[in-house]
Amino acid sequence: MAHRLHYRENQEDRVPDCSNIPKKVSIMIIEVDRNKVKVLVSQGARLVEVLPKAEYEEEHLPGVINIFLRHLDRKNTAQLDREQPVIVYCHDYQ
Amino acid sequence: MSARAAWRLVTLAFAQVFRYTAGKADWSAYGLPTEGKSVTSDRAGNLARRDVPTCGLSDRADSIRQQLRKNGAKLCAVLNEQRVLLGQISAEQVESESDTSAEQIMTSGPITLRPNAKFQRLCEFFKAHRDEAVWVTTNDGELLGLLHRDDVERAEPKVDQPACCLH
Repeated sequence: MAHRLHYRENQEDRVPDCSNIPKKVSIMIIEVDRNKVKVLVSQGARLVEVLPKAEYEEEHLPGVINIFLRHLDRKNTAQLDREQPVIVYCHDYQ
Repeated sequence: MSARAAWRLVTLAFAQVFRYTAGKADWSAYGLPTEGKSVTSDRAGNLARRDVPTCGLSDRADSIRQQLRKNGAKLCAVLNEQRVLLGQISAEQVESESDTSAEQIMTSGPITLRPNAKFQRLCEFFKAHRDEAVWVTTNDGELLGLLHRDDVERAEPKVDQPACCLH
């Protein structure tokens, strides 16, 4: 089904009327810095390191769980509460 | 990698997904606590002395000299209000000055190390430089402390690596 943009006739600036377009549910991934990480963790967020186990074992943030990116599936995330905030990280801006 | 992981969690029905974009490199570069096999007490952040003389840009040479003498120190860090390291002043630089401001006599942009620099890196640094000490700052330039050559020489390496011979 095609959705056309309609313009409200009584508006001089011709703002498009998008009311006939179905709205999508917007899911945001929020990027956070270290200060926000501290706040979120203090409020109960779970930290997940997604690097391979060997890198996790070398060094990781306190209190994190390690689930390698390739192993992120329903089974391996079953231990996490879907309604609780989750923070993922790797080494740096990769 | 963390971006893909975050989106994967969305597909797995997680309601609130956050991405710590800068990751653990950022975390440890700020001297924040970490755990693991390679985390030892011989890193720059652990060996650096925290009680170092500091001053602002407008502080006068005579007060800086007094502070250095009181602390038995040879270097003073010049900081802004955010504790960002702008420069350094040595005892020699303030010896013959009195009313001059720190800004006029400081050496700008001194070399710095991050607190997560490992022991071997510290040895390499002091082998390559003649400095008796180097500032330790966060990635944002905030001062954490001053690492002395003597303290690195005296430190026992905590991981399987040779002791640091700087001579």
